Amino acid sequence: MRATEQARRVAFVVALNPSLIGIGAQATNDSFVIFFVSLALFAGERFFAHPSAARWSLLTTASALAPLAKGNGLVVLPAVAAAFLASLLAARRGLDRQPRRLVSPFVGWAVVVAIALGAFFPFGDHYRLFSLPFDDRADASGMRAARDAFVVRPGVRSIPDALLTFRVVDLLQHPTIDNGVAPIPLSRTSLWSTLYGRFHFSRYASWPPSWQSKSGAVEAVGRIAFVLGLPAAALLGATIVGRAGTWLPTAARQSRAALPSPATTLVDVAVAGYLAFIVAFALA
Amino acid sequence: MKDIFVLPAVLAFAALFAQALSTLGQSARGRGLARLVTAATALLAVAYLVDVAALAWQLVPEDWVEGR
Repeated sequence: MRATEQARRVAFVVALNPSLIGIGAQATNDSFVIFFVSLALFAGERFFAHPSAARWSLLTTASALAPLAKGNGLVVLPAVAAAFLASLLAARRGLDRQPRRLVSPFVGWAVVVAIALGAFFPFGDHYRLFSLPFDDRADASGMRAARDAFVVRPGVRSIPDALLTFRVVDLLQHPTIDNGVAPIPLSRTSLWSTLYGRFHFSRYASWPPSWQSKSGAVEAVGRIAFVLGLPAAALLGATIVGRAGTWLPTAARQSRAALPSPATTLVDVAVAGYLAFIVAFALA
Repeated sequence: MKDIFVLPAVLAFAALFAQALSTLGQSARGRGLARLVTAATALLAVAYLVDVAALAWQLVPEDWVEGR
């Protein structure tokens, strides 16, 4: 996450992303959770490179506020904890001359976050309402694991259909979805297609209703964005698979020698955690 | 399946992408591919701008714009 030229360019493009701009224009807690998780990742990268009290404070404050802004902010906590563990393991391998200097910050971080969540996170309310510690109102009771099931207003219909498809042709044919009952366009039933559509085109989801558009010119903009986003999506997808390929042998051998750096661990676990979260949510 | 469920990690995804693009550009074989991805992503930024501008124009209240 260092301020390389490449990172600056990517940050510039991300800043123009219509999905993020759309979220920023709405009065919801989404902007807050994006901000606090981003701040935790940024402060974490800087802290694990060069620990200091100021960076620890920023990391801890952002880590505590992210889940309080929105429940899925919880996912950043395992990423930060994993980065702390990676730094401690690196210290035990002798890569760090002061191995104990990270124990107190780790314990302090965990205590502050636990107190903040214990005091303010509505675990109890959610448990009373949903019999779960989290708010889970998804109803996918009609979904089948291996084959398509009838769902009244389909999103995900089966695991293969949801996770093993990327319906780019359908996205180009139907750059916007409706929110009706009919399972058309099919991109709505494919997890990765839906994410891709929502991220690259503000009109894809046709939500809020005032953002709907059937203008040919507007749909053409969406089609162009979908095509132009493909090289970046392919590179990112290949990179995520490649990163998984570096972690799996390390985990299988339970080898500490080849563990990635704390900053790399932070990014990798955050990416894996949020992907796992949306897969779990989609299949819940 | 809303994108907000993964968007909190947008910085991590962006960092991974920037790192991958940088790594790709360091090899002679990958340089062309890196240029292709960079060019497509730059044009994508223009498409984003047009998308947001069109949305903003659509959302401007009718009585703010004469003759629309």
